[in-house]
Amino acid sequence: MKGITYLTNATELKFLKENLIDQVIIEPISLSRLGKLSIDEVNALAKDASENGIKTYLEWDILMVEDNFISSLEEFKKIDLTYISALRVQDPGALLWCLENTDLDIHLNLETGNHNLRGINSWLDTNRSRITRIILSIEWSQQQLKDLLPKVDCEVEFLGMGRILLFYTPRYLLKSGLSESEAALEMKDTNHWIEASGQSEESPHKGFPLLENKHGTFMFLPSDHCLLDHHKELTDLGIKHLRIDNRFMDESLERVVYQFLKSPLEESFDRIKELSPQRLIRGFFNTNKSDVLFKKLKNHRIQRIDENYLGQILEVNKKNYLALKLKNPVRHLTCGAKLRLITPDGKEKKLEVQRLQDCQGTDLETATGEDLVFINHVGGISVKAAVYFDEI
Amino acid sequence: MKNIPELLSPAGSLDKLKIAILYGADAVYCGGQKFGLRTASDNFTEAELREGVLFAHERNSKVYVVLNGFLHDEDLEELPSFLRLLEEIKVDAVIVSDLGVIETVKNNCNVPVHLSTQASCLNTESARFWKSKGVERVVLGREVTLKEAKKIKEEADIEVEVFVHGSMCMAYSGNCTISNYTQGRDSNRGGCAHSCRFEYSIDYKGGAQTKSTFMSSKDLEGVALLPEFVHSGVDSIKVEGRMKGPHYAGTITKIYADALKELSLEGEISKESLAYYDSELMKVTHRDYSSASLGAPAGADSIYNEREHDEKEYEVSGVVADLVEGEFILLEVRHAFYVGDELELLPFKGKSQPFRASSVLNFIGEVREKTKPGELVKIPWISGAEKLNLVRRRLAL
Repeated sequence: MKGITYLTNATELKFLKENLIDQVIIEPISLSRLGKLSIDEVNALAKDASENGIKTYLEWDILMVEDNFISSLEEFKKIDLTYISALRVQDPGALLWCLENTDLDIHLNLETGNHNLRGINSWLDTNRSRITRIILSIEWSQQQLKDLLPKVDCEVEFLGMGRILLFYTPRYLLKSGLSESEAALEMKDTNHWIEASGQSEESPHKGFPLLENKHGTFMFLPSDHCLLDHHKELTDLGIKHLRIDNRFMDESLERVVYQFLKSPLEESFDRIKELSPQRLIRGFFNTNKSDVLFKKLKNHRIQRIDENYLGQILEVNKKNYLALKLKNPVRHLTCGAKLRLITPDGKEKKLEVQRLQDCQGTDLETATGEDLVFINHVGGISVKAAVYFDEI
Repeated sequence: MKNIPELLSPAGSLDKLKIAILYGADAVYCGGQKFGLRTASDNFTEAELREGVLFAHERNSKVYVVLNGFLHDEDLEELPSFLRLLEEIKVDAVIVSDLGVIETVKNNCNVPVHLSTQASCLNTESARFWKSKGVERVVLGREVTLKEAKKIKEEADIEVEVFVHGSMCMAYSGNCTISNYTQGRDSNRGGCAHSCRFEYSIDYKGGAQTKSTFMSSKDLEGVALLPEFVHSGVDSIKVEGRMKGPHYAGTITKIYADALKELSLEGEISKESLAYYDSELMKVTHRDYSSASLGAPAGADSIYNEREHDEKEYEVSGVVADLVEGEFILLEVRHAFYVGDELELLPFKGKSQPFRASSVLNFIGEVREKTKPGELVKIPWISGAEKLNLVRRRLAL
């Protein structure tokens, strides 16, 4: 498994080379979410990297509305692709354009969603010879990766260590909360780059890193993703490239991280934890149960579930009547019918229909379709109870 | 005026489906019990879907079923049988955001595929990509302007749907995982906890401090821009809101249906009508309206700088459950009201009709001075009332 990281200036090249990093991502400010490099800097860095035997991949990971797409293309065309080994894209529009207008390899970013084999294969089928790497979401669990990777005929990259992006919007949310003078102060060092941290009394998490730049606003988790101590498992799973997101690391941490990749010793991992600016977590790597709470989000007892379903109780008038909204277009309700009623809290009651009336109080022999009928009362029933014919 | 787009309304339940269609929706979108993004919504059982599709088709309306979660492999296993059901009951399209789901649909049925806004299709090349994967319509991301939507439709030669009204994700749709990591609920499989609506204290690196709901977006409202929607040639305009109540489904659908009809007949929406539609829109709970990015990219004025609250100008007092023409209306009470309260009946066609509930009786003729949610009451007959009409009440603010 090979490491991959971001290159932001020429002085890092020697350091990366020393640490056996032979592939880097470069990010132009105009095309990359967190890019800080001008086109001239990108061209110069790519050349330098290439001359140092390091492969350079160009990050074009912003999402683009039509007008932005056109302006991004103008910027893209200024880049000297001679020293670029692959293009990294997420927007399907960028993917298609790159496939049709360049002959470079594509590293396809599938980190947003894409949690099934069929979808991944469909992305790859777009052009299997050109899409030479996919970058998977860190929401894939170890077991899911174990099932998936033997069936994926493409190199896979996974985030080994770095910030967890939670939110990406094109709107400028941080600047808008400041006065002009405050905004000018916050942005004084760079061209539209504001950093902050946020916390809410409604969330148990504190200190969400926030960032605004020309591409919009980004929010990150206050803990960083780290699977370095699962290095061996990741290798065994078949992950070929482990990304170290060094963009928010200082050099001392970065050095220990690369050292760990070369020689994964427990004490150096302890040192990584010490030096990390945020708590380190494994995210969903051990298990992803982010759908288990769904069954608690609503009451399934009041849903109609079979052909014996008759309708729903709309009103309960104690000792007098139950108002029943029929919802079975096929079955008829008649006096003498035996019913089973299930309340929203799961209680079950039985009832024999002895009285069947319409809204005028007229006795009915039968009712069907969407009729609203009034039947005799039975205790313990509440509004929204589901009503079934009591049949085996 | 030609090229009036389809009006597509939300149907969070069978009742809301019927209400939306009766109030003028050309099509509705709804979800089954799985595979969508509104897990907490009632959603539809198989029987309800059958009934809903039948109800819609009898009234020349269409039903689209959302399958727009980012599904995991294990979720996909259950999908083929559901797809066969959707085809059997003649659902008009499915709304999908995941390529694996698209493949599964294509392999198991012939139901047309619409790409969900969740996939953030934002440009012509992207639309061309999705078209190559078998998508017949793209629901564009809410960041796209109408001018851009026109270009995408023309250049990608694909059906285009654009949101016209409702709540907005602040993030690019599908690009928010706050709930996943902070609540353990996958927002892209239906578990969004709306953390973007929270109030946050913000400490800027340069020293400034603020406190605001900075990630909360105002609601989208596009009635005044309907002529531009028509000019753009988009095929469908969509109202967000499967989680919202019948008042929302009925009122919003009626406003846009009436406005589109006026546009179709008169070629424009008069100032008087626009003022009326605006006043009607204000009667529905909302977070302040904005045209968001319909005209130009959304700016600072699109941020809703208030915490969520329940203040509202109107509430739905009840839904007409039954009636005997010329005698009485049987109202299923949703919010309590008193005898003598001034209420408004919202007919399927025409303007709302104010009336006073001069008497209120229950089914067995007992006088009710104050109604309770969940009871059925008889109020005097109002001319033009029909089953499933909404009755609403202005609240004292």
